[in-house]
Amino acid sequence: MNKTDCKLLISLLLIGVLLFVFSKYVYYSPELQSQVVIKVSGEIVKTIVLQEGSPLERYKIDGKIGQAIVETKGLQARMLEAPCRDKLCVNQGWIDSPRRTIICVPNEIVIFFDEDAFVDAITG
Amino acid sequence: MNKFYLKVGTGIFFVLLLLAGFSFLLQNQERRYTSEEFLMDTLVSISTYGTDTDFLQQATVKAFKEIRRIADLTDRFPSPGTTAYMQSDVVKINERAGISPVLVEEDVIKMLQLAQDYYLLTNGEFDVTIGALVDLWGFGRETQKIPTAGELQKTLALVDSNKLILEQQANTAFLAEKGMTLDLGAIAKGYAVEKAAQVLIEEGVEKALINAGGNIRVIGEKDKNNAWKIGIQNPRDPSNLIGVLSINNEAAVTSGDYNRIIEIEGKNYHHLLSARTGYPARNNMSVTVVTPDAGQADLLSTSLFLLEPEQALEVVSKISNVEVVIITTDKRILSSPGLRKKFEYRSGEGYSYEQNGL
Repeated sequence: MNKTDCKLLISLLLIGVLLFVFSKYVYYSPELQSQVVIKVSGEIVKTIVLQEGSPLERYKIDGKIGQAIVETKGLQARMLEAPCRDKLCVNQGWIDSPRRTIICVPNEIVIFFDEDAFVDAITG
Repeated sequence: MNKFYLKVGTGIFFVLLLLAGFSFLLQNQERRYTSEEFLMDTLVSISTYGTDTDFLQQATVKAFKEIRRIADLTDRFPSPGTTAYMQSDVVKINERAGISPVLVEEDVIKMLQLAQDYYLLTNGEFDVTIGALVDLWGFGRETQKIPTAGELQKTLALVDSNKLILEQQANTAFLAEKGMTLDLGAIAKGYAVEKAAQVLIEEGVEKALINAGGNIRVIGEKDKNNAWKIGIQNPRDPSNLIGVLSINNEAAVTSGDYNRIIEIEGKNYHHLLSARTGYPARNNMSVTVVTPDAGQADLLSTSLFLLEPEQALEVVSKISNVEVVIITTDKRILSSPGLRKKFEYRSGEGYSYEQNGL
């Protein structure tokens, strides 16, 4: 076995490992209900309970430099409009799990999923 | 050169082996099959879990068929041309009030018998012959009004479960006085959900969640280390949860004063009417019952809602396998002793969670 053989074997094994990891993410099954939290300058201003199949809803949120619009649909949320210059938050698109967070630094708005709030259903 | 190709071949072989292993694993991945239908004035959703989605779909179709059957039997205002119009036993019983007993399906007798039990248990606060009173107020109708004292007195005379005569052997039900009206709104949904759950279990489904407008019934556990998490709405802030229940293999049903409200002359009146006073009960904002049978959960949640909180806790302490969370109108949260480890209080403005109960 020489160096090239080693490199080849390792790359092939790496491909295998990557496929394995990828497959775990493909089959992540979403919860049936979740809660999205919106903070302005560190304070919670809104919490929204989301359900699979919920219709499109828009919320006006007043941030530090202006008004933003947050949109929710089903189990997803996104920053639809923001008064900041770069619109990084808007370009982030939809998030649907605690692993992703939308932050608008100039406007001091944070949109995230409350990990503890994941429930399977709501009884009345 | 040959050695090189041999090594590539071996490498590829191992990768293929890995892939074969994954596809085997993925095939036995748990899948979820969800289906929804508008039934009984609400959205009914059934989620079943398993490895074979065809099997799950077939079981779900049968479960919905069963819900539709119960819905048709208990529909009080069926539209002409629908199956409910021909099938509704409730319509038949109401039409023959004061005239003659009606032969009904076994499930209807069972529901009515349960209702009678709870009539006694709540000392008459809960009464399944409440139809005349509901109609007087106009719930579900075009116009609503506050009944006058005279109208109330006359109508309350027609609300009397003592005059509901059931013959178990003959499968007949009879409303002894003309004008009396059955309304199974407090039990039909839960009963249908339980029948559907039994269908799924008989078909071999081991894990499922049925949600009929807040009437929840879970089958099996969420997974080995986790129970199903069922949220309870904050009665005065429904986009937020006041707490979360952890349940397995049981039902959770809530009766709340915020679900069906009518507004008359600027004031709100909810649909949970006391058969005794004729007015919406004002002791509680919501009552959530947890118990294995969804029909019982539905009936109990309404019955207990009508009682004073301490009375309700006492009733619960006398029945086995029933737990309850009560949110009173003065924002106190009470839970039965057996529920404490299953209930996680979140928080709510102005609420207090008392961890004693009886």
